[in-house]
Amino acid sequence: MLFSSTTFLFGFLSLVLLCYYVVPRMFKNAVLLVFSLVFYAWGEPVYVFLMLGSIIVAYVTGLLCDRGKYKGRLPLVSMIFAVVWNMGLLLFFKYTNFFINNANNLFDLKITPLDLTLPIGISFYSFQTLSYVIDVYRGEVKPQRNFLNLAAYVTLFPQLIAGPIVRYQTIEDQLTGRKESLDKFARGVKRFAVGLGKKVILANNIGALFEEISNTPQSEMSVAASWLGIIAFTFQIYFDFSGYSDMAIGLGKMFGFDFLENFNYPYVSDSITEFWRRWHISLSTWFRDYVYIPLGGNRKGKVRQCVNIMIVWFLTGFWHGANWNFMIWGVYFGIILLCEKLFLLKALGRLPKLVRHIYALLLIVIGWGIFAFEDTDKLIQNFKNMFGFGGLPFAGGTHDLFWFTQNVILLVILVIASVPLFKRIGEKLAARLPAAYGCIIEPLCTAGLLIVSTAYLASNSFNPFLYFRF
Amino acid sequence: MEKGDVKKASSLMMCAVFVGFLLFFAVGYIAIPYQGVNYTEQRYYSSKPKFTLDSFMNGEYREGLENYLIDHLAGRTFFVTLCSELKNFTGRRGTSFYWRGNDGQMFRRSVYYENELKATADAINKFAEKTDVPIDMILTPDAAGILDDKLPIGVVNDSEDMIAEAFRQQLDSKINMYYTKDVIEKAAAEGIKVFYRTDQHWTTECARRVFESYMQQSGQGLRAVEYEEHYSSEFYGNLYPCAPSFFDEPETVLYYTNPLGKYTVTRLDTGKTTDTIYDYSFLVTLSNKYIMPLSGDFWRVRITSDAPGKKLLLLGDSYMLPMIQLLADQYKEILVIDARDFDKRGKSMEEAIGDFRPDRILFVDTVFQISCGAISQISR
Repeated sequence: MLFSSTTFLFGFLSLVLLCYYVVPRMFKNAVLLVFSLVFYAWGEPVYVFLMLGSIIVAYVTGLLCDRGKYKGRLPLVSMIFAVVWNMGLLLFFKYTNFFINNANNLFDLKITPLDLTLPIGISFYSFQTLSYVIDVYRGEVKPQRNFLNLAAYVTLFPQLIAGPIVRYQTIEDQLTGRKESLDKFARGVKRFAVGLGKKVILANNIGALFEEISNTPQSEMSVAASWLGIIAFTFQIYFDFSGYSDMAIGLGKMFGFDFLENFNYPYVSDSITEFWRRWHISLSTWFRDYVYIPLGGNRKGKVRQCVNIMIVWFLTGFWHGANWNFMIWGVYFGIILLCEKLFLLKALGRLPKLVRHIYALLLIVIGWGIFAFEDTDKLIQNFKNMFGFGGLPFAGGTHDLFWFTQNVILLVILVIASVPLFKRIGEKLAARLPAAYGCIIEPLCTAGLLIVSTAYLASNSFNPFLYFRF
Repeated sequence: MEKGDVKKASSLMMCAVFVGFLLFFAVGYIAIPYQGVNYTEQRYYSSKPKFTLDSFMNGEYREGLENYLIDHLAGRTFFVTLCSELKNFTGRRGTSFYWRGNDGQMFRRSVYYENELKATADAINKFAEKTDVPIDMILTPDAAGILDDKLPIGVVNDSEDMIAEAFRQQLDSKINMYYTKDVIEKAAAEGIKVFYRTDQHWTTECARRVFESYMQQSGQGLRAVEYEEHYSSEFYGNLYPCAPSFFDEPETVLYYTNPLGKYTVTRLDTGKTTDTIYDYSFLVTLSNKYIMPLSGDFWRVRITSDAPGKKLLLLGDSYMLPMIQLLADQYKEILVIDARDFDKRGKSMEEAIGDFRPDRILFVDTVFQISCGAISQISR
């Protein structure tokens, strides 16, 4: 079920809010669990049992890897079992066909790929259950003895499908001790409306341009059009994914939860290092805490640190999908981050801010150029086109003028929405006119966003969620 | 107001907005009864899906419910129009295939599909080989080919003149092609509205100009008929649902009737007979009144009249519709066949024509239809 669908908004969400606020506190997690299972089953009626299996494994291994209670090898074995289970599921469902296809190509085999559908959200909930068990093993959190509470945490529908990856330690106390309030609910509404608007008004519209350009015959393209296409994708993926995260965080607040931020205006970055501190923060920190640091981080010398960084970025790319382009994308950022760590950041520091910003944006856009095309031939062709090796004119492709005139206003809006301008205006207004801003301007803007988003939803246009496929 | 009170009041306002938003639509689903037809969008609403375990598991129910809920959203027409206005406001004047131009004029994109055009010409040539009667073709550009001053900046539209010329060159010389651009341009220059603003079709006046020109040019002469003029307002055309606007006035459709004419209209597949060319129920039920002649369904319709003329086989696309009344007063018998998508009709052209022996064959088509190969299956 998409957050940006009428089924969710006017059916599911209305119902779950009603039930949640009607039942006594002791049943609230049960309500969330039941509705979260319905939410998941709506998209994946069969794989809901797989997720339940993962929760049972996390529950049992979580109890058994409590080193305060169990001595000997049991905690370690339990933790390893949880790792093998989660990684095994992820590898099987997400990567089996990738390995089969590559083995077929490499060794001229004829193994038939399996008829597998990727369970929605498996990349996210596997990482969550894994982090829970590892944290228990490390003694950073206590094992959850109430199965219902653990199940409610894993299945919590706001973050189940596409994150943010909410770690157990973040909401351990909130599972039983959270407090819903009018203020928190209102902040949740505002955040949800912003996310919905980002997704439905901005991401979907610019996404349609990317789709159009990427499906245009080569003979009608130009270098400028190729760049326009990939810039469109750059905006689409940001507003799509950060919109989803905003909706997730907003929904969480409506139910009394506080999830950590997942995005912090990544396109204002001056370096790739900064970009990755601002983009998909929950994934970056997960890899830092559960892969980079356990591998030794920066504690074992420069060479080992470089190797660790490359391992983390290869895995980050691989996590995004079973395709070479994602791995190339991960390695691409790994190399840039390595360069920045070793020498580039110092050199960049001496340059004007604008130059640093252009440097970062250029590399980010090129990165999305790798990420956007799972088809290797298309990926190569697009890069040839972008850098003038595709035999195309610089500008004046068949549709260039039309695409530009049709989208110039949208592009300006997207640029403005990518920087914290509205946030700052809001803060200033709130400081100067607290009553008018809080009681009139903000609710009106929120209502406007909801109405406009509904208008775009009603016209039933292009509405994919990019991160569902991961 | 105290700081705490402001915070509380603003939170209350925000919550009220959201709860009101959810309630409005949730209650709307319960309160608003099922509506069969959406007149603005000119389509049927999705019906409520039936829940079964199978339909749930295979996704049919979920998809059906989403479609149903989107279709039955309270205030749907308002929201769809609002979305269109917002797109228009931000400069998005359409997609690759339709545009909203200046003065709200809607356009359909014309594309030169070389292979499809050749297939169409080959099909018509092959069809012509099997008959000795004269074959004419009225070929018409779309609005984009005539009202190009109203096109949005930068639109990509292949020249309809070029497509028509390429087609003419591939057409057998025994087929007389009448490209109507000059006639339409002349009519437009005289101040006649030649294309509907919200539709890709020509107006009845424009079709009449073309018809009269064709009859003269083809040497058939024109039998004088005194027509009564009728007007039907509240017309929104085929392209209107692509980009509706709050500020668009509905258009008016002119239709002619001959008070002295007597007609028998028979649908050959069902045997259903009427004595009128028009479906007058469209005057009250549908906003798309262009398709009033023959209810817009012109697959194997036999029209006999008391005109002293000959027999005509009329083939083509929907551009023929406003001409049917005029043709029915010139020929004593017409067999009308929708020549589009013949492969889906379940009949070959020979079977569709049956024992009808025409004295003349007339194709009425648009450049768009011949270029996308819509009538390329007629020789099968």
